[in-house]
Amino acid sequence: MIFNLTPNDLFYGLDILNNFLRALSLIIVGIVVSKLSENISKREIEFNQITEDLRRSNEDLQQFAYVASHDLQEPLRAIVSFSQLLEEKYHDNIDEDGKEFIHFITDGAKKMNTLIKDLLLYSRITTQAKASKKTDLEEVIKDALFNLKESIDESGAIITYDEMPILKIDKTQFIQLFQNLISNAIKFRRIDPPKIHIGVNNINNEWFFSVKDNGIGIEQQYYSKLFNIFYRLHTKEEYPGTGIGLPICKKIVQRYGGKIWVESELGKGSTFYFTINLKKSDKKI
Amino acid sequence: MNEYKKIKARILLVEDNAADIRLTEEVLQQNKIVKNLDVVRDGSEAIDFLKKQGKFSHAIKPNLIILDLNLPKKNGFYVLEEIKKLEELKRIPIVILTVSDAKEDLIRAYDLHANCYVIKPLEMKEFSRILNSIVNFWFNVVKQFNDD
Repeated sequence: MIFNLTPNDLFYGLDILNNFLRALSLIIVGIVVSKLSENISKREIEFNQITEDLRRSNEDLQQFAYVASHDLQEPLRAIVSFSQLLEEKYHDNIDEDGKEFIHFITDGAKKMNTLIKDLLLYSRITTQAKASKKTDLEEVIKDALFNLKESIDESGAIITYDEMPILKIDKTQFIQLFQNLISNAIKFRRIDPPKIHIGVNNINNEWFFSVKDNGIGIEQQYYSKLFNIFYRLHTKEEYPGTGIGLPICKKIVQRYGGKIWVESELGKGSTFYFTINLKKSDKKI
Repeated sequence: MNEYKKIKARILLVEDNAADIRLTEEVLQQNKIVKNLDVVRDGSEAIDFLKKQGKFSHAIKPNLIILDLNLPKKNGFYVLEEIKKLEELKRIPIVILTVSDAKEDLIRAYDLHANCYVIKPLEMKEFSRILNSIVNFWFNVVKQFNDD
């Protein structure tokens, strides 16, 4: 039974109900939206925090690198220069053992100096990265080969390459990347003349590059360690180098959302592969 | 024909590292072109020396300045900037001699009008060769402005 309500009353009631429901829905929407934006704000805060942390750590890296290029190298210069001065000035009063000891001192200090310079190089991949520009990769390879002219002539290396694409990249870093791989291919040669081929392929919008050699090859158990900083497979007397070349390559490749790996056969040769995914690159690129 | 009068080098070395000072002295001692080597160990002293202020009232103006960048208190860039501002000092050639190969240092030094930028080598023989080259260049090759 409707309690003595007139149609007017009903409409009035419906009206109030209508307004009430509207208000309620507005409140509900309001709560949902504010919860969502709370989530988004939380994410945004997290994101900003991470970005801020990254920025600060990059700044620290830059400062460290700057300090390294000044304060760490000065004492080393003193060690090397004065050891050599000692030897020069007191030549007649130092016996063979003494001279040998002095050589070990200077060699140690020189090695440390090279390590510091290599660490600097490595850190500069991040701190001195330049904006990407459309670059002809054939020019990049030609520049790398020009830089390696001396060792190419010395070894008689025959170097060939596929037709290269034009990509939006940091030219300096890519020259470093190819130069390190080609330099290794020449250094770890097995027979004369060393033959090196640089290949390229595009699969599903990802660029695959390869540097193939007919050198001494690498045992599978060492594949993963190759890209660790200063990791070496040979003594300094066998092959020169501090072991920073491949880590540098890896860092550059990672900036472009890519991967780097090797396939090799001991005594036959190695092929180093790396991918570049221009869609996955660092935001700054 | 006027004979080109050979000028002797009066060098001001601005360097705080005792080892580097000693090395420089060792090398330049044997260089016949060098008449005098004065050493100051920080940026403020360098300016005082050049302006003949404070304890340097009897200082004689150098005709070559070898300047390290890594100095305590006021760094080499400060010294460079100050010198190149002053009429009576800005024509003295300034050789930046530093361990740094950082691009930003190179750019800043040349922007502030350093006459040249030389990187200190690690080894003694090379250091000697380079220092002697510097002296030879600025006194046997280059014609400097001298107001005496």
